[in-house]
Amino acid sequence: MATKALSRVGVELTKREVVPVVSKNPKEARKNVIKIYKEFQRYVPTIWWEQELRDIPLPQFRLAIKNQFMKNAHLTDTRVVDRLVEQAKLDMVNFRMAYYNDVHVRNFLFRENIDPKPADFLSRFFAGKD
Amino acid sequence: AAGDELEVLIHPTGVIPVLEFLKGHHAAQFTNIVFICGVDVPTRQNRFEVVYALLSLRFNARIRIRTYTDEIAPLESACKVFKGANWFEREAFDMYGVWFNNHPDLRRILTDYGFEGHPFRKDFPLTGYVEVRYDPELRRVVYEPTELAQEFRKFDLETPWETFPAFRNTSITAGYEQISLDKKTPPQTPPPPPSPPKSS
Repeated sequence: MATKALSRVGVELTKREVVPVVSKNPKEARKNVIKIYKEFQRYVPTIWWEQELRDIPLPQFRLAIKNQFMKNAHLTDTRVVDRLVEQAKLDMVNFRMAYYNDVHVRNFLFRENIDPKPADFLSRFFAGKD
Repeated sequence: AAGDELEVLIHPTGVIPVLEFLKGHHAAQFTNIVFICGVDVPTRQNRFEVVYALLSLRFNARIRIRTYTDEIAPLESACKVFKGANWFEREAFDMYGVWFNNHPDLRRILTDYGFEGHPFRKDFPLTGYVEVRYDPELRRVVYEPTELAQEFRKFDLETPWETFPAFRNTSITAGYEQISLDKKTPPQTPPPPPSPPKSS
């Protein structure tokens, strides 16, 4: 009887256990994040030069990269953090292989520069819509 | 599965051992990978199902292996077992956002670089999230949130006969005389037409 109950507990435990994906604990996940962040910041001047983004000051570009990381600063789940780190690595590959163009970079980092779309009738008319 | 094809439902961690076994075992020899695809069922706890289809030329048999995952949990890439799994997994990643660990080159394959979202997810809007246009002032392509000039059209597909609701149960042959070719029997008289609505 006792063994049965124990095995049931064991089953529940194994069910609830979340399999570590890349990092075993939050500390390791954080280390991975910092690693990919540093890699990005080291590679920033290359992107900035090669993608013809020189109209943006380099410090501002660095800050935009930092903001992309700080956007997810509230995440605590190790699996989610690992997944985002993997995606960042993928982005890094895409930058290195020049799969991303300046258009993509601007879209990722500086979307807020786009003017808001005209909403009311007159401004839509002036903007040449419809 | 259709016909007598075999389906194996496995835990996500067992993908590589099962594929290894089916490919390598002498009595199986499923050496060809036919496809890997995803299925999205948002009501499930693990919403994505990933299906591997294998073909054994030696025994003329097909098998399907089904496993499951969610938006975050990655699967192990089958590339080290089947070289051909590379692009299929890229497709599953592109369309559903299923992540494959240790994939040699997990990029988007069907959509363009910088695309947002995963189009085959059930919650992906029909119009997508962003639209792309060339901005002559900025002299570059800009991405903007999709804006529909018009709502989706909703067609009214009711039957036109409902314009005469008073005649709904009337036979459409009611007003015709039925002629019998047999001369002996008198022609049958049709049932009287329905009385027209009284005009008051």
